Formats: sequence, C-alpha cells, structure tokens
Amino acid sequence: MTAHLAPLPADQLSPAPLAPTVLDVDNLSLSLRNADGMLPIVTDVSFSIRQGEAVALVGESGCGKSITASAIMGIAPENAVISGTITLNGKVISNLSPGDRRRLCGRHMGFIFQEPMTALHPALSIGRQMTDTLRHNLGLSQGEATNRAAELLDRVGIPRARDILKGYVHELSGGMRQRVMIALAISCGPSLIIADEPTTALDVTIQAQVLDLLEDMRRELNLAMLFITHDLEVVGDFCEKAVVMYAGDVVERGLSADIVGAPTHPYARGLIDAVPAHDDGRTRLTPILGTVPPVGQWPEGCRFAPRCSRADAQCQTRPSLERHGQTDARCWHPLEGNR
Amino acid sequence: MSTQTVLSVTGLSKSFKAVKAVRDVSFTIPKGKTFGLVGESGSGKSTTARLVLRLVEPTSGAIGFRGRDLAGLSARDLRAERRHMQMIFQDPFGSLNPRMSVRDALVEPQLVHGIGTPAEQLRTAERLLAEVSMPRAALDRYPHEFSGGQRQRIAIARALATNPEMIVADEPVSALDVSVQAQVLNLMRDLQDRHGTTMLFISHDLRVVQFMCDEIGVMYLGEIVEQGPRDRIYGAPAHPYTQALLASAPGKGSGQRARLKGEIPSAHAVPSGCAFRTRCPHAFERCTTDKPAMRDLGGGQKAACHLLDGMASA
Repeated sequence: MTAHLAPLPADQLSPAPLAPTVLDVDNLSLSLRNADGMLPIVTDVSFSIRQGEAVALVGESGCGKSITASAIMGIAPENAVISGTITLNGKVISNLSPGDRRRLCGRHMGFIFQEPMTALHPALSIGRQMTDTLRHNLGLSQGEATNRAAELLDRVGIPRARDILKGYVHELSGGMRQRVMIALAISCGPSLIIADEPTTALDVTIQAQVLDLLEDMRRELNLAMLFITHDLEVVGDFCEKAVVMYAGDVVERGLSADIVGAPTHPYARGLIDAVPAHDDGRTRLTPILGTVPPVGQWPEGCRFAPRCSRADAQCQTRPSLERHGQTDARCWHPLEGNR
Repeated sequence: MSTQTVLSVTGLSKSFKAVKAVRDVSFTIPKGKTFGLVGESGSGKSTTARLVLRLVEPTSGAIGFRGRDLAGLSARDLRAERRHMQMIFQDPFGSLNPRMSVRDALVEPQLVHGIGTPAEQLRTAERLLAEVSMPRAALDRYPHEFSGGQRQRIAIARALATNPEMIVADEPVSALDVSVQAQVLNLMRDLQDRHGTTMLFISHDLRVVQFMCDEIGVMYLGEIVEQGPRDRIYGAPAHPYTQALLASAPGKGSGQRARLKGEIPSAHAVPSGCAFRTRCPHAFERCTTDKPAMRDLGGGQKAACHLLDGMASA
C-alpha cells in the first residue's frame, strides 16, 4: 500500500537513520470546488519526514507547495476537496474533525511563515500572543506562561526579552519578527515545524542568521522540519531531503545532495541551470523556455513536456514517480545524473 | 581615456530631514558598461538610482550625463534629457499603466519626446516587441493579460522606445521566478550588446549582480564601502562587509555561512566613525572615532576600511 514510499537508498547518510517517522503524506491530492466544477491544484503528493530531519518542498510560484503545506496544517481553503492520508506521529490526522485537529496540531506542529506581519497579530502585544498560546495548549498559569515566553525569546536570540514581550510586532525588524515566529513555533514542544519561505523576505546577512537559528533549534529539539522554498541553494545547505514540485506534481524526490548535484528530472536540472552560478563569468544563462502553465491548463501527460527539450510522443502519457539512479523522478526520459 | 564616460556621479548625497539616506556617493560608468549597486535593504541603493534619475532631488552632488550636470538642470531641460535615460523597475505594474494597451505604452514615450511620425512610431513599437521576443498580437492587449516575466519584457521594450543611451534598472528580476528570471537577464544582456546601452543595475541578489555587471559598488547605510571590477569584488573582496555579504549567500554549505552579528542600524542613528563598525567582526578603537577614507587598492578596486591602511601604498 505504500510501495511508492520505498525507502531512499542513501538513507543511511541521513543524521538519524532509525529515527521514527514524524510526518507521512501519502497520495495527497487537493482540488478546489468552484462554479465550473473541480479545479485540481495538487495531485498524488507523497513524502515522509523522520525525527530530526529537514525535508524541502521546492518549486516556483504556483507549483502547489504552499497549498500542500496548508493541507498538512489543516488550514486549506474551505472549498478544498482533499484526498489521501496525512499521518502525524503514527496517528492519521487527515480524517479528524477540525476541532480535534486543531487541538492536536496546536501542540505538535509549529508554523513559520514568510511574512510574520500577516501571521502575528498587529494589535496584541508579543507577550499576549505567546502567553495565550502557552496557556491554551499547555495549560500554564499567566505567570508561568510569561516566564516561559521570556525564556523562549531569550533562546531565539532576542535581547531584552522582558521588554520585547510588552512590545508589538511592528516595532521589530524583519529578522527579529522572524525570531518571534520561531519562538512561537517551538513554544509548545512540537515534533514538526512547517516553515513556508521563512527567509525569503530577509536580507542575505539576516537570512544566514535565521537559517542558523532554525538549524540550531532543529538539532537541539530533534525536530522534523518541512521547509518550503523556491531557492535550491538554501535546500542544499539546509535540508537532507528534497521534494521538487511542478504544476501540482512531485517531479523529483530524493536526497538534497543528489537533487542539487545530479538531478534526473529535466525540470530540476533547469531550475539549477537558470540561476547564475557564483563563480561563472559573463556567459549566458540557460533559462527554462516558456512559463509555468496556470492551474486548470495543465497538459494531459507530463505537465513539464511543453517546456522540455527531451519531450517526445511518449510524454503525452502521464509518467509515474519512479526510481531513476539515486532519486525518484516522474519522467519518461530522465537524465543520467552527471557525476 | 579611451572609453567615453556616460555617467559620472560625484559626491551625491540625500538627506530626508535628519536622515542621511545617501552619503557622498561617487562612481562613473563607461559607455556600454554596467555598473551594479548591491546592498541590503536600507543601504540606499534604490535612493541612489532615483537620485541619478532625479526622481528624488539630491541634497548635494553632481550627476554628469552626456556632458551636462543633471543636478543643475531646469525641469524642462530635465524632461528633454530623460529621453536618453530610461528606467526599469522591480514591479512592471508600477511602470505600465493598466489601462494603456501595449501599443500605447510603446508609442507614448516616442510621442512625448517627439520622435517620428505616427506610422514610424508604430513600426518602432512592432520592432521593440520583436526584440523582446513577444508576438505582434500583444500590441492590442493590456498589462494584466500577461505573466510577470512578459510584463517585464514589455517594460523593457518601453524603456528602449526612445533609444536611450542609458538604462537604470532597479531590481528588475527580483519579483520573477528563477526560470523566468534567467530569460529576462539574457534578454537584457542581448539588448545591451546590440544597442551598446550603458546600465546602472540595482539588486540585492549577489548572483544576479555578478552575472550582469562589469563594475560593482557595495553599499552599506547610505555609502559605497567598496567598489571595483566584478572579478576583484567577488574574487578578492577587501571590505569586511563585502566579505560577509558574499559569505552569507546560500549555496556554500551550512557550516560555511558567515555570522554577521546584529542588523543594519537605522539611518536616523548612523554610528560614529565607520558606519559598519557595530556589526564588523574586526572593529577596533579607531573605527569608533575616525571615519575611514576610500583607499585605492590598485586594479580599479577601492574600499573604505582602517584595516587596509598598510596596503594603501602597495
């Protein structure tokens, strides 16, 4: 039943080979119901994350990575129709009632979003937001919650934690806001952190600080992390495994080092080649031709075929996600992996 | 000098009340070359671009362009001069009127500057569309009908409509996905090669700047702290801020990330002495009291740091 979740061959390289699986996403599909019927947004997404492991969900805008995360978090749009199974710490959560799900997820999942200003309340003090969460999920008293909140801010490197608790989000810089988000995300002792483009809006020196902090937290607390990003370079630095999405499909899945170093899907290769390298001179870039097809206008077979130089008649049929070399790819004509 | 200088900025400064947004910025761009300004938010790079275009009035300094000082031109003369200096912004929605068809967007700059007859203007519009690899059918459509990458192509075509000598591009690909970003960067390079356009290119993305620019100025808190040819800046950065910026970029393995402490201070409270000292891993006493002067390091590279004192004469 989970044949497509065959263990990755180089699993022994990941930091905790025998660590238990924290999140398992099995055949997740999501469509939006609208006036014209059903609009498929994400199809057949499968991956899992073990304790202490970071998995990247990578792709360009519109590929379905954020809505996949929202389905896992239980905050998909109201008109979403979801199929497949989501399991958290061995318990199936995809069929829970919204209330049960919230109770479970509040404690066991932490969230970090790209723009803390939209995720944090502008008119409530930072202390209030943190203590409310702690009291609600852990049943602490106000005094205990305040102490714990100050400890958490201290832990994520915010100076003068007690003063900051009395302040508001708009008084903080982007980097400090993201630290507050991280403090909130870890506040109830979660086993899984879902971070959606957590450093995309930050300057490069601040991005490095926040990535370091996330990595420290992950190692100290042995967290499983789902890291959503468009930046393959961050993936290579930060995540053991990666899931590359294109037009609602998982097109490649495997160890980050293999995907960044020798991808087998032409789209993943294209993403890497499209970024100017740090050390090359004034040569031309190799863009991916055309644009991502909008939702509702996906081609029948391989969704990348219209932009792919390797496409032929076979690509009119939809390929399945299969092992090619070191990684799993959804492709009829995978690349050799250029080691 | 064998090459002709198109833009020569000297001592450019801008204060908004007590805030010194841009301080004493100087650089020159030879014909057909691209000068890049990099820095983090709040570094003053976008304000510098707006000062060069005189979209923002400089507090002091000179902007030499085609043999005239733009800073001293009357509004009327400035309008005429703008024909030769066009701009591309991050968000093409900001530069394209949503109610103007692509045809009108491409004809309008020619109309404003009195270039050609109506028939010639239309022919130019068609040629520009072809140059940015857009179909002729796009002429009768509106900006919202296009993707972000296509809109940026149209904005580039519009910037070229007056056949300008220079283009100021402020984060032109920052809003685009990487696959589309590569298309637009290639296009900008091709057009520059074909037309010999001089470019001032602003970006926070070090990879993009490395790809596009011949010379680079690194800005921190309103000042250029280091400048020089691309290969020197990326190969042998001399200023601690440039070094930290390059080392912070992802793609080098997590252990390799440099940890620059703190954040860029507010422009309301620029630190005394060297503005970078509050975050500099090498700061010492003198950095608090003395402002480092720009030192010539040879090979066209210059940097403002006390650590480079001994090397100045080398």
